[in-house]
Order: sequence, then C-alpha cells, then structure tokens
Amino acid sequence: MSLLPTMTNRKSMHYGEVLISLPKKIRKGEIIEVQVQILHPAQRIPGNAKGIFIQELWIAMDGSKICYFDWSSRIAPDFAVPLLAEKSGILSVHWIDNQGKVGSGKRTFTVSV
Amino acid sequence: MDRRVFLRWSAMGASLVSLGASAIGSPIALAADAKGWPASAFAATNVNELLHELFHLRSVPESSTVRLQITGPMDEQRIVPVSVAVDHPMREDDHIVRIYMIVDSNPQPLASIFHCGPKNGRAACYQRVQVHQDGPIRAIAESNRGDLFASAALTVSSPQGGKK
Repeated sequence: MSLLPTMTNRKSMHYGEVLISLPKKIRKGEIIEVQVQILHPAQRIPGNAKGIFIQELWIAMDGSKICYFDWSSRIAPDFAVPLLAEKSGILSVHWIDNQGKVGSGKRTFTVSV
Repeated sequence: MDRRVFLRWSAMGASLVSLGASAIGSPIALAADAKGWPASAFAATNVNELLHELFHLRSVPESSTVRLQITGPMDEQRIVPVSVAVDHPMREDDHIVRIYMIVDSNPQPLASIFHCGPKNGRAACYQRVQVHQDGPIRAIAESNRGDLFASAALTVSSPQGGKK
C-alpha cells in the first residue's frame, strides 16, 4: 500500500487519533478494504495494566452506521473491514472506550463511476 | 469467494503496518459508557458458558464457509494478526450479521464481535488479538436467518510457549 510512512513518524499524532486508509481509486460497486488504526493505550498493549480498552467502534457513511465492533480488552485497535462502494461521501470511524472517552476520525470517500 | 480474494484478506496484516493516512480531526470528549456492549458475553469464563450465553447452545457445527487464518507471527505481547472470511451471500434477505472471535484459552474467551451487513459487501474482517496462552482460536458467523457457522479451530502457539 502506498501510504504515508508509519504513524509513529507523525509529529501531529495525539491520543485518540483515528487513521483511516482507503484505496486511491474506488469504483462504484467495488468491494474495497477500509483499514483503520487508532492511537489509544490499547494499541500497544491490549489488556494493559490500567485496563483501558475500546469497547465499541463503528464505521459510518454520511452519518449512517454501516458496521460496528464490540471489543474486549484483548483486541488491539487496528483492523480492516470490507466496504461496498456505492456512493461518495464522508466515511467516519467512531470509538468509545471503557473509561467513557470517545474519539472519531473521518475521510472523504470518492467513488468514480 | 475465490482463492485470490481470500488471500488478499489474509495479507491485510502486512499492509496495516504501513497505515498512516491522515485523519481529519479526532475529537475526544467524555461520554457515557458504551451502550449495548454485551458485558455478560464478554464475562463468560469458558467456551461452553459463552456459547450458552450467546446462542443457548453447547456447540456450533464447523463449516468450511468460515475461514480463519493467522496472518503473521505472534509478537512479544502475544498478539496475533487474524483474518476471518465467510463465504456467504451478503444480500438484504440473506447475509451474515455477526462474526464472533473466540480465544479458548483466554480468561474471557470472547475477544470481539463484528456486526456487519450487506453494505460491507463481504463478511470478513482483520483484527489483532491477544492470546493469553497457547491454545485454539475460532470464529463463528451468524446469519440474519439465525444460522451459525463455526470455523475450524486453529491452534496458536508462541515460539517459546507459555502464557502471558
């Protein structure tokens, strides 16, 4: 994948940031792969000593939920899921952890005909 | 699902490492605890208890339609990259609604539930799962018609063995 180097090289990274990767070109009707990584304490050590972990995470298109995860403390918050490309819009990813903190990130999703 | 598609999903672990695309804003605020998070299922302490909690069953039949693959080596935190792909239609009237990831040897075996639907186009996901000690992991897919399909269990073992 031809993406930016790695998130650890990013100086702007901050707690809760959601990194979303999409294919460069997306055609209508294609099933693409959405890759997501979240900068969260559970990233480095799932089941960490402080017991902080993301409980629920969902993906939405223009605000409408498409799919979601329920997670235990044993999951590192990076994942990939398929998505049927139907129309352009704003793809967003939202999370809430067991401490009640929430975060989100979004990317423009452009579908070519 | 053809072999090429399955292999592509299986290779997602490597491509995730290079993930670094920009996010547009990442607001954080305090909010209520996750509503609807199935606490009782995540609290189950063995697979039998979990299957009863989820499905009121003692076992789920294995099916070749659910393919589970460990896509890379276990790291020092005993985290393994795992992909699941379910060979099942994703039509409005017949689709997979949930994929459960279960690690038998973890103190609480249920690791995650992926809730999916026709807008995903395909029932599959890639995740990284921490394994408490060497042992089997498995995935169970549930359709909107109530059918259950279990993958064959895969045994995860670290080079050194032991447990976290």
